[in-house]
Amino acid sequence: MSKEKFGIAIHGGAGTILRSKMTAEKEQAYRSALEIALDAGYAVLAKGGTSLAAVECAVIKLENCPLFNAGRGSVFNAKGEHEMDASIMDGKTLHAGAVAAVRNFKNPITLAHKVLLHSDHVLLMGEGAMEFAKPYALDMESDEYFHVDHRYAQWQKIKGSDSFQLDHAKEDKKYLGTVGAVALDMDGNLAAATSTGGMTNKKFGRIGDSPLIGLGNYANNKTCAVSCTGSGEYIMRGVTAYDISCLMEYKGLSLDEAANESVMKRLLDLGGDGGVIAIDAQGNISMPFNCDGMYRGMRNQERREVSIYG
Amino acid sequence: MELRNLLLICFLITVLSSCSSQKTLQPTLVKSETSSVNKQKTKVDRPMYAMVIHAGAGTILKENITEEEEYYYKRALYAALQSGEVILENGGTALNAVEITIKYLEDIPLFNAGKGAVFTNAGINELDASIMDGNTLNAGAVGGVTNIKNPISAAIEVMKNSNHVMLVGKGAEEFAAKQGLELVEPDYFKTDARWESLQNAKAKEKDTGAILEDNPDWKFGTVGCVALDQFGNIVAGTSTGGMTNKRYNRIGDSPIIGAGTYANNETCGVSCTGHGEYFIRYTVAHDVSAIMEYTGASLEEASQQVVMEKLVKAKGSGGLVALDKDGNISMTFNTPGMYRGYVKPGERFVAIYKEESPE
Repeated sequence: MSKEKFGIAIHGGAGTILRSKMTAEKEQAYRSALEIALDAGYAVLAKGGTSLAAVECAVIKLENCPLFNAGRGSVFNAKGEHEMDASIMDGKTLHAGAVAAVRNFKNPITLAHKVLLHSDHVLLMGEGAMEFAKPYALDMESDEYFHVDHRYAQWQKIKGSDSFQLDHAKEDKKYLGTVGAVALDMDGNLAAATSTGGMTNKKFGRIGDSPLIGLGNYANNKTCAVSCTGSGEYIMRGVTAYDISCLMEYKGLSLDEAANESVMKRLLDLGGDGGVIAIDAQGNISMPFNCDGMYRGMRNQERREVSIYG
Repeated sequence: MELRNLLLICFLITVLSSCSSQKTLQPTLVKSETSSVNKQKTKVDRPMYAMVIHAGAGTILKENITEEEEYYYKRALYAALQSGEVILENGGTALNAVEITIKYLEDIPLFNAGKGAVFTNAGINELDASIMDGNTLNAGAVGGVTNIKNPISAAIEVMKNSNHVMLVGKGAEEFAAKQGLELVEPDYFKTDARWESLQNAKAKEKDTGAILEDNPDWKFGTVGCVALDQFGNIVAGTSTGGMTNKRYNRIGDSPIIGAGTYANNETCGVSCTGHGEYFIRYTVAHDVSAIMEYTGASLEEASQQVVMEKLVKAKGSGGLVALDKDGNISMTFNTPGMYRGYVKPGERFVAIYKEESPE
């Protein structure tokens, strides 16, 4: 195994992404947003940076882009607010940090990284996370910053009803949003990061899989780094991210076999839709999804690819 | 002394409840009717039911507990087991048994869940709970709730009557109210012993951060229960008040599916207690199940591997209770003690310290 091998994969959500509903212009906007995030993360790795820094950097770019359901483009909850979740994990130490239901942070992933670095805890939520963040002077944004027109329109459609939807909803089917990145650095360390605005019109303090270590996000140098996107409740019940690692560690499956078993079989059997991006300690990358499309990209020394459809 | 009074009340409740349901301890074995779907599986004799509980692990040392206290703790554990056993031996479901048992542990002030939960740094009780059904892999959880009398029941409502798995804070409280669950004033949860613990912790605390080391008595309270019913279904549940003096709306492993709680009829059900952050990072509950499923290890081997090897190596202290589809039970912990017990037809066991083991 060459120690110098490195690489990164990112996603910007999976779900009902149909060519028929996509204009050439829109598609180009998604592609270039993915490329920007991918190249930013890759540049960190190419300079010898850590996988943790690379996944944070890539996710920041995705959070700053209004197209994805994380950071700036986060969906509206039932109260018309933006409540965001994020998590990050270091595959070398198995240290992790996560935040749930936080508001007004420009980059929730950076806050999660601070929890990883400076807290004895793994998961902080809401006001408490805000309190924790005080000493770090993180970038805050007003509610207007998060007001993105197409998100507002999505919310207006179902506001006041009991329904809620994940991003990319198609009539009765509920879908996803969420962004994530996984990376392997030159030192052979893996890391995973995930960030989301959750579900449009969500109520009752709903928390999905994204801020939950082992469920929506996981990294372990022994096996792989994984970031999930999809119907969060099913991913939680399937403990999907850690299960991929378990299939590799305990059953001896390859990354691709494990990721496919988890997404194309186990998640489907549960009735869940979605996908994952995963990278192993040898730099292999797998990006299976069991729905129409997943905004995704991967880059290593040999390849650079951005794709949307299946 | 406050604690004494509380213990006395518990004792009375226990005596009353045991008088009302006298029963014989007849060993019962049923042939497991593995469903036709799994017809290749060999039939095994499994007990009609089995249930295992914990009420926290930590620095629980004989020298720090009076004989009287020990007696009351054990009586409470017996009473909790009995409350669930009544359901199981009368053909009830594992879900019902787990709810009733955990409610009992939440309602008495001895343990760090429901009434008797520890205080946060802000002087309030923030409660977490979760439940998982091993038959359907359905799950429910609540985090950071302050006015729901029985958080385990709220977790069950989330599982049964919402499209979500996990609700937190005010939103979870709103949902519980809508479902008609009993709400209480926040001071319902207050006990003098826990309030004192917070004051001690604060006094000893230098500046920021957790103060786990300073607080050996109430290190990890958490209660949990795993049950196997006559239908072969496994359900696991966990409920906790978290860590004394916790800050920043910290959420531990107890409300996280796969970390503090997991159940799967194909393998096992698990409820954890301990230093929650390690249990999250090591996805402990699911790990036990995965080791069984993917390596063919027994329940005991899998539990030992996770708690005594992985967690010890990572310096994560705590333990878990688990049972598998054949009714085998594991109560594994790497701390000096864990309040624990199990019941099967004709068998009962409760213990506190490490050196106690079933005869």
